Amino acid sequence: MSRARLLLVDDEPELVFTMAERLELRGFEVDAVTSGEEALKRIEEHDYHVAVVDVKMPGLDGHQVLEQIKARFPDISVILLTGHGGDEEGEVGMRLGACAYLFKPVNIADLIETMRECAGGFSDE
Amino acid sequence: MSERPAALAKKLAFFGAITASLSHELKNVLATINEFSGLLDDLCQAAAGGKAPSPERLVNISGKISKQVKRGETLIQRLNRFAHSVDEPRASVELKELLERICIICDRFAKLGQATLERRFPEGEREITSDPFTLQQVVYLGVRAALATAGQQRRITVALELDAPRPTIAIESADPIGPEDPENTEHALLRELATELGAELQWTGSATPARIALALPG
Repeated sequence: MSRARLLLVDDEPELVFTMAERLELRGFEVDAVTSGEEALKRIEEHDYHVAVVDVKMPGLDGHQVLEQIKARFPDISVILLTGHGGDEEGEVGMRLGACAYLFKPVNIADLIETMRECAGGFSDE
Repeated sequence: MSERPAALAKKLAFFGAITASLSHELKNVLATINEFSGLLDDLCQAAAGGKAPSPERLVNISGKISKQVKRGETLIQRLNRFAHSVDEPRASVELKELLERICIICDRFAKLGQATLERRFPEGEREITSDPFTLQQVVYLGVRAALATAGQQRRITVALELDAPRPTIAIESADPIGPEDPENTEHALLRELATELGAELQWTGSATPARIALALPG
């Protein structure tokens, strides 16, 4: 069982880097980037079990990033983060192949549980 | 259930777009504070295990939380000012101040479209009597029209011109702005609202710079 490798994608730098630090403290291997374009570049260069992707971003948005990941790297589980008040954005993502969606602000325990449900088979130790 | 009158529906759509955008940004602020708060919790747990964080680290995190609280407060002020702009259909409007407010709101739309929104305002202020809500909607629609066809340069400017006989609000783009299309609902609405304001709309999308100008009454 390999150690979990995660990619976090959000255009809010303080949010994404702090979330990354908290997940690292819990034993995950984490990369964090602030755009969809950067995310796809990282995915080409490294292996990840899960990508956690914000929906609303400048340039490639979360749905577009999700579509490209699913087309080119179907083994990566994608969890969307939405700042939307309702389910609409998340449901669009589910139809595009997301494993799950969570509303911001996210409880880190919920995020970890969702990652396990989506991509079990990894260890955070 | 009866349908809303078309004019009201169009205004509500604008109100909805702006409040959704501002509340979305507010969620990002709360999400960031949530992460900092969680990190402090994590550091406290580490301290209990004998790995205390440095005071500098804690001061740094606390400073970042304060910055996000300030950002949230500013967003709520903007939301509140915008919500109150529907209070009076005719009110005394300070043009530069109104433009600054709607530009700050439009900054997020420009950012999502990977464009920058610049301002070009004169020194003085001009006060007119107008419908502040509709004026903001016209600027928003102009910025959206420019964003829709922004190409390489992606630099849009909102300008206030007070040297002409009539005060003029102009939305200019370093890229061409698509031709006015009466079939495009937002273009049609922009012209309709300009008429409602008693303003003259000039659309010169292929000029340099490309420009949508609104000459306001007096």
